[in-house]
Amino acid sequence: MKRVTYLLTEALTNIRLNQTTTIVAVATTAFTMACFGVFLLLYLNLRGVTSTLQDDIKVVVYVTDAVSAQALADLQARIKSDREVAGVTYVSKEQALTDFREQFPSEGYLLQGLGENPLPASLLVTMAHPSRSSEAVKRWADRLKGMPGVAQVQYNRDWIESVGGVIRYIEWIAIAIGSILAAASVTIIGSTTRLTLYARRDEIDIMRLIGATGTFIRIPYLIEGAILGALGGALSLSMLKLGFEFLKLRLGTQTQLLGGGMAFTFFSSQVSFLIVMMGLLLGWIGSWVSLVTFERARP
Amino acid sequence: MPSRCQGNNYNGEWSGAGSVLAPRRSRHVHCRGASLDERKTPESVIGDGGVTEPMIQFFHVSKYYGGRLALSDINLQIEKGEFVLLMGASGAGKTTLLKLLFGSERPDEGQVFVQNRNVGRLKASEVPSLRRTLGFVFQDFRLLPKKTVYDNVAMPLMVQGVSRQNTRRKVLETLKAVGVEHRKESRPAMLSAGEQQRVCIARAVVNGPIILLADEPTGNMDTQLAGEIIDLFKLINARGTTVVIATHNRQVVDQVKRRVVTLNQGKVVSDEGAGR
Repeated sequence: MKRVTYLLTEALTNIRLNQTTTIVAVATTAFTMACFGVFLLLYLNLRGVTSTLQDDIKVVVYVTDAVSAQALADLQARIKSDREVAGVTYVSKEQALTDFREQFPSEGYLLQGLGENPLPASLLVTMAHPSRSSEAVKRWADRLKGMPGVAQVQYNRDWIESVGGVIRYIEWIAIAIGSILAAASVTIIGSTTRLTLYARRDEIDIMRLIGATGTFIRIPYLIEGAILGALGGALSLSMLKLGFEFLKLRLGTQTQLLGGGMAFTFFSSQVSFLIVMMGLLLGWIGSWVSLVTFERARP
Repeated sequence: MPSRCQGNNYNGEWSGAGSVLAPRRSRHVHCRGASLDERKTPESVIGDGGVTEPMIQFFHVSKYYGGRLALSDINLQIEKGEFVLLMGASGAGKTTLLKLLFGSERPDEGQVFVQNRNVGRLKASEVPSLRRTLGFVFQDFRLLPKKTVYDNVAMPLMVQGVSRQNTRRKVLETLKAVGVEHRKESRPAMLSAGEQQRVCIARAVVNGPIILLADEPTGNMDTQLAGEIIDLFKLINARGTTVVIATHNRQVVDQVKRRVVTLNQGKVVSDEGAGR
């Protein structure tokens, strides 16, 4: 117990000993991690948007005007029984006309010259969850195309695929930037530990002479690095949150318009916790690297 | 030979040891209670045709620093309970010899045994356990400046995980024995050189080392102060601890009147007074 207290006190003493360096290290780590955080935030939000879009994948099966009521019922039953399908709704010609008038009230004149309702009846199909990838949808739609009574099959494939592509790019960029910034954080905290190590090298020599094990000597410095890293992570979170709220305030109305009710979200508490833990881990690694170099120089 | 040290500082646990201050090899040193006593001291020590037990052995040891010869073909054996002075000018190799003993340096040639352990072959992870059986005293004290006297002396016990209660008992006893108990809450910088050296000695002996090594412990001290410090070493030795002191101070030799090993340019040039 006394040893645990000692090790913790030593770590805090190290932090106090190099106050200025500590502050600089925490701030730099925070900025570095915030850069990564911006990407992570962007990525998580975009992924959220696509998953909402994918939830929205609807396949519209237009039926020919000539189809008999019996054939239509058969087709609907047939589609409903597919395991890729979650639900089917029939939209009649009349319903389609009403919907069109509601959605485009000013364009109603387009239909006025036509004697009869030009809009086809359709079956609105919602895909089941496992079949929402664009390949699965395409395969299913192709199968449907040859069936009697089916005039055309439409789905919003291109849009989903292009968003998916962007997300994959962002993933790669985030990984690349993340690795570089992680290395930077490790170096920053590592140098801080190195300063402490050199400031206290005489004490370390004394500790060695009186029979302290390597681990016992190292632990305070590892704790120091971990604390700096965790503080940096926490500070980066606060900076991100501040920036996030500010942007939301400024762009509030536009985001509503863009997402149609989809609001941007900040990190969940689990992700926030993970970010702080990541800072802690990076700090620990930084100190560890410094200790290894230090011990090599002073056996 | 009455000693200032004895008059001022011995009491309690150490009072029984007063008589062994006389310069003769004591065979039976009964130590009770104090931290110094918790090592295993065989009843039979050396001298009087008794059993000898080598504590330190050098076999053809050489050490180079970047091509410069620091020690050359050293052969030396120190028995349990001996008090040995390493004499020689600075640069003669005294400090290197001590460093080889506590595993801070390794011999380039030959072998060094401490308590039958081959120090040159110890793994890095085994060095701490060797050092826990040794005590060190330095000319520059090497106390932790930000810790109190008490904490400095408690440090060797703390790194070994000795309980708080036992630590307290041992530290206070040891501080009392070396005569700096009243300074236990001070920082080293507040202490005089003599007091700092006493604290350093207390730290060296608090966990009852088998061997006590000292490098110029009386450097920069006046005659009287040096005499007091040497008396402390003699007392520690009288209680069974093997003591090796590197010094170039003739006063120490005259006062100790024990074995003197003289080094010159890395070689043992004389070894006198063994068994005195």
